Amino acid sequence: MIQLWNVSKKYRSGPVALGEVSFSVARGEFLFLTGPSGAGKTTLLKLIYREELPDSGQILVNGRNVTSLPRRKVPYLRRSIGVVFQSFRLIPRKTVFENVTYLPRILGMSREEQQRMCERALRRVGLAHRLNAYPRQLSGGEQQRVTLARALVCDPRIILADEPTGNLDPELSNEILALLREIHAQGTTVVVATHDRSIIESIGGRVLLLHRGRLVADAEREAGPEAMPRPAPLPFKADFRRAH
Amino acid sequence: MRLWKAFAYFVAEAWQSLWRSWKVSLVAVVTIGVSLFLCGAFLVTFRNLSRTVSQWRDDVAVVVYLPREATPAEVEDLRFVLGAPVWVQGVVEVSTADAAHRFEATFPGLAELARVGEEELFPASLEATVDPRRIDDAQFEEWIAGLRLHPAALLVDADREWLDQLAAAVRLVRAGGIALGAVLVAAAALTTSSILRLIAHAHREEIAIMRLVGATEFYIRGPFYFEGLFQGVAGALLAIAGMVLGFRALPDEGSLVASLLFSEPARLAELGWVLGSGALIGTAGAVLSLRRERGEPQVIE
Repeated sequence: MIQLWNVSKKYRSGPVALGEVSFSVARGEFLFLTGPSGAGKTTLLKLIYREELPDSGQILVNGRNVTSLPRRKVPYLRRSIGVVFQSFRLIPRKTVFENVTYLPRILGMSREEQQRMCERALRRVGLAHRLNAYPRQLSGGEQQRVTLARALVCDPRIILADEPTGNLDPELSNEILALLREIHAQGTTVVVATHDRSIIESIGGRVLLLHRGRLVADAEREAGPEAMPRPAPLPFKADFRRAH
Repeated sequence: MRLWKAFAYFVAEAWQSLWRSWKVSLVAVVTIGVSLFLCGAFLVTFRNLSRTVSQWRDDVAVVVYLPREATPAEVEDLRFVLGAPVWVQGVVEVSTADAAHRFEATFPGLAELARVGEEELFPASLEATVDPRRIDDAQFEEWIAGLRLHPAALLVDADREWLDQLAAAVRLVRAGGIALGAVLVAAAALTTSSILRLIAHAHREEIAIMRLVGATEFYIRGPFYFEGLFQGVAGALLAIAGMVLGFRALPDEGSLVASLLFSEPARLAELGWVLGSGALIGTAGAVLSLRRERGEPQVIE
């Protein structure tokens, strides 16, 4: 579903954002991307949805080589990927319905189809009753759920979540994580970038650890604080242990 | 997405945006309106002026006033010289009595003047009507110079000389008007562009979200193009209203200047030109406002 080979990225004025990163994510997998701030998590997600281009290396998403994708075809790639941000990024003057139905509108669906798809997406996140509310009328957790509904509305194959619980208290964080798990259970590939260790501990699963732009561990982790990570034999294993 | 659906969306979004940011949109509309009004008014007045000058040039005549002491033989010779060129359509003799009648008819308030004293106030003349299309400039000048040297010619009055000067002045006015019009149109387009950039900036988060979920550039830019188009058309309608109402507001009994410049109102084609220009200015402003963004793939934070 997602494959990266020796992907490197360096911003004009700054250290290496990503260096020689290679990994693959299978269809329907749930993956955590973790590491301290500045490790390259957000850059990695941006490369996957082609917000950025790598300096070198190749990225395949849904069988399409993202690095050589013409600019005019980028929108079609993005339609198969749902993206969720820490800052929600809802348009305040638009209702929940209008915020959620950007993609159906772009695809030229009728008002009835938009309504149906929006209601279904909002049901999945438990907000079907807030269709006509404005973002300011919603709590932080509800706003993040609207963001999730926007990402889900056209059934994308991949969900990329960049610190989805960063602005939420632990209880709401768990709600969002439970939703992500549920979405994953329905067959969607989910990649969650987070620096919050407790989130990973609460769910478990495959964890990629980034440190200073390098992939230092790729491990399967059981849920629970006591469970030890089982990093794959990658360089900088010690860094992974230090970070946890 | 079907094209008509996309256009319906563009129109709806542009209309909403116009209402939402009506104050800045009004600035663009008024700027376009004022610029087009000035250009349109210039177009109409220039057309009237050109037409009048052209009519005068078509009615061009050469009048040779005769001295009282001219002999019939000299007058006959002058008549021959006057009627010889191919561009002369006919020669008419105007007697002193005819000249006085003409004066009385043209200036009835001053009719008494024509009858003062015993001496004849108005000299007799020979009038040659000329077809301006058949005139050869060099030969014409030579002909006039020859007439002035003729013993039976007291004064030679050739309309064409001052009409040529007037035509040159009209050409100068046209060049100045075109330059001024170009400046006004460019200013209006740039104002629209700046305002649309402001609106686009205010909507940057929404544009970023649209790009994120997979909207094409056509879909993102469409509403802005239509907004520019609407602003341009609204400005043009304002200018047209100004031109039509402005002409109606002119006093009926005009001066010479008014009869020269405002003899005929704006024609439908001219109003169409103003409307088309408005649409073009608005769209050009929108294209300009979004052009700089074309090369930037990164719009999300």
